[in-house]
Amino acid sequence: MNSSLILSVTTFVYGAAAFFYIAAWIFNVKSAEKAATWTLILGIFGNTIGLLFRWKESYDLGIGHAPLSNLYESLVFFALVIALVYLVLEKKYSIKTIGAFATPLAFFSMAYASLSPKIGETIQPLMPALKSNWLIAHVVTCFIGYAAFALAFGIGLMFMMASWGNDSKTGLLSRLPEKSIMDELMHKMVMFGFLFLTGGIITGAVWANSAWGRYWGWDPKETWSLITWFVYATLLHVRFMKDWRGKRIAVFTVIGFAAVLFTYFGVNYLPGLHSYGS
Amino acid sequence: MSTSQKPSKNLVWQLFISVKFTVIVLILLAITSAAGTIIPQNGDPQQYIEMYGTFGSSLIQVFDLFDMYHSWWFRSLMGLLTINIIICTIDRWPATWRIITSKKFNPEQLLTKKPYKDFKDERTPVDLKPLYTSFMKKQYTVKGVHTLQNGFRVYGEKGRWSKLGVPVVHMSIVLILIGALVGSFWGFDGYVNVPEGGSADRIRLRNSNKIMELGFKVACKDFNIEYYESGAVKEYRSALQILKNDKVLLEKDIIVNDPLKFNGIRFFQSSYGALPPENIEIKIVSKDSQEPSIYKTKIGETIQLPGNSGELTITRFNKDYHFKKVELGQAIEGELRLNDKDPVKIVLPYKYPTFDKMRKGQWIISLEEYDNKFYTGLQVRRDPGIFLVYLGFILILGGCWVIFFSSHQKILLEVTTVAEISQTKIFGSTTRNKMDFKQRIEKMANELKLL
Repeated sequence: MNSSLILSVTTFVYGAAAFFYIAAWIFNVKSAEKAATWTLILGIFGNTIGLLFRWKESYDLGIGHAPLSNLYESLVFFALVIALVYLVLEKKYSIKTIGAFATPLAFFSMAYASLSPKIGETIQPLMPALKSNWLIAHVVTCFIGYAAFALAFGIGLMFMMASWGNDSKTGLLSRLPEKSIMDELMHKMVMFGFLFLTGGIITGAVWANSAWGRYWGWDPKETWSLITWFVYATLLHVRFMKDWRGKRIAVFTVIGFAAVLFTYFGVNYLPGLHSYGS
Repeated sequence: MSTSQKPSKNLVWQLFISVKFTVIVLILLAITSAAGTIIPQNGDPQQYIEMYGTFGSSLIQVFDLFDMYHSWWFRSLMGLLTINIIICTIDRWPATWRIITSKKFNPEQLLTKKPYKDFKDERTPVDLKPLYTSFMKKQYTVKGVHTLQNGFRVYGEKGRWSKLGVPVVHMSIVLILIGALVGSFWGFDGYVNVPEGGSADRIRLRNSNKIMELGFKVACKDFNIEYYESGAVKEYRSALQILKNDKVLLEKDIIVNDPLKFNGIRFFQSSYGALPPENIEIKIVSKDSQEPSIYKTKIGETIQLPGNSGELTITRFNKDYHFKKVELGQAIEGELRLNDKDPVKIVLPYKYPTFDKMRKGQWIISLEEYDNKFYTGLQVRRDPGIFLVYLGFILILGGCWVIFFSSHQKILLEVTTVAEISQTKIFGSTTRNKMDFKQRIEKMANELKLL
């Protein structure tokens, strides 16, 4: 048993969970809902074990470090956090239709990590700049933030479907949660994500200060994380102060998530210090 | 105060407290910041002309787009955001403070809305009153217990101080910006290359390119690169000493992520490089006789070739020689002057001793040996604003936590008897997180039933 195998299998487990959630929503089958949750839990279990194995394997290779050091590992971790945050949401509010929009995101992240030929799976030794206790704090806070924004985006999509979709035949949209609930959950996820994005930027700044002696240097990754922060700060202000709700906030979650994705992937195409993300 | 001044002052004030203004500034900051990640910053002027043409690059010059994060207009945008934040905080402070310090609690206001929850209980109001009161006291600040004709009311609140979250977050942003300003005025950012076994007492500043005296010496006893088996770099390590009047005050090995600190000045491992060698050994072989001769020399010195056929001057050390775009590494360059011939430039890469053969000359010259020493490149920084920045970091996280996860909540429990059965109603209000509040009240109802 090695981590690669476990994580490859986990990709399919997440795929199955996504399938069950979507099936439960489209065909309105209660039994599929149950299967979906248990499959997701299995996926989270596999994802966690896979990461832990990878951690151990890096020590066996004599280059031990937390499995959060390159694009492959971050995608696997991203999938885990999306799945976990969604599961907490499901337990807390018992709304399973969100799963049809959230678990595919975890699946995509894993599938991209496992299947893209551009992403190396081999465990690499840490380069000197990454050797720091801040690595774990920085990556974990950032990805909790990203995952919350991913969920806000998923709920935002649901909201837009409910607002602009035509539901005369299928009844699909009537099985989505009430708009006021989606609105509140979207907002909640954005606030949660914003707190962790702020934490991620701050841990990054403190780390940069200990590695290079400056907490801010307008490196493209730093700049884009700040742009993302500006976008969500704008969302929070129009919500708190102008009482923007529903559709407009849903559109914002899409723009915000686009900024997140650019901060995550797009920046690798720009020159800068964070190029070990590629 | 004259009345004619008032409206204009109000207009500016109104502008700065409008959310529209904030949103526009935030969006402008986002867009311009993004532009700065696409246009290369602090690049070569030639590069801009190649990329954007003469007109485009002159536009870039005019608007400082090559260093836009430090341009007057980007700083002005940040300034506007700061003023906006400060004015909004001042504008709202009296109301915020009133809510935080107010002792008033109007139960009637809660009663105007529908109760969140109501349920029946077998027990009488007299039995329930002490139970409910002590229950409320555990979770809320109880503001009153009223006896009604056929029952009672108990009400309380919590989280009044959560109103502080917003001003704390906004002021911490200002604090971070002030910290950055303090750092840029009273701090410095420089670099120095210290040769192995050598020392330096002055650094070059990055912004002004000026030399700055440190007032002490920083010495590098040793520089080392450690590699992984794969050949990737594992660690850069410089053994540093701080010296004053030849006395060692501090000694530390620095690596990336672990700088040396002295007198508020920090020394970071940032680069390294090869030093020009002091002693060089050159091998010269005659094409005809294959007879090698070895010469010990230095940069700038001249060697007489065998049989007085000419001379060779060692001109310079090239630490990164490229031949037709292929990297050949460290090399020695020289000028060869054979009798009756024009001087030729020769290059002797250490790793490729047969390189000079390609010249097809009378003599085949190669670099036999040289002392390969390094210098360590240190980033030298002082930032007296860092304390403010870090304080801002802590406050902004705490403030966001309070804004997002706490709220000012009011709860009123009303018990009345209708036909010998107690009827409990839970009224309430919250400033944020309505869904969680509802869940909380559901839970509370279950707990009250079990008391």
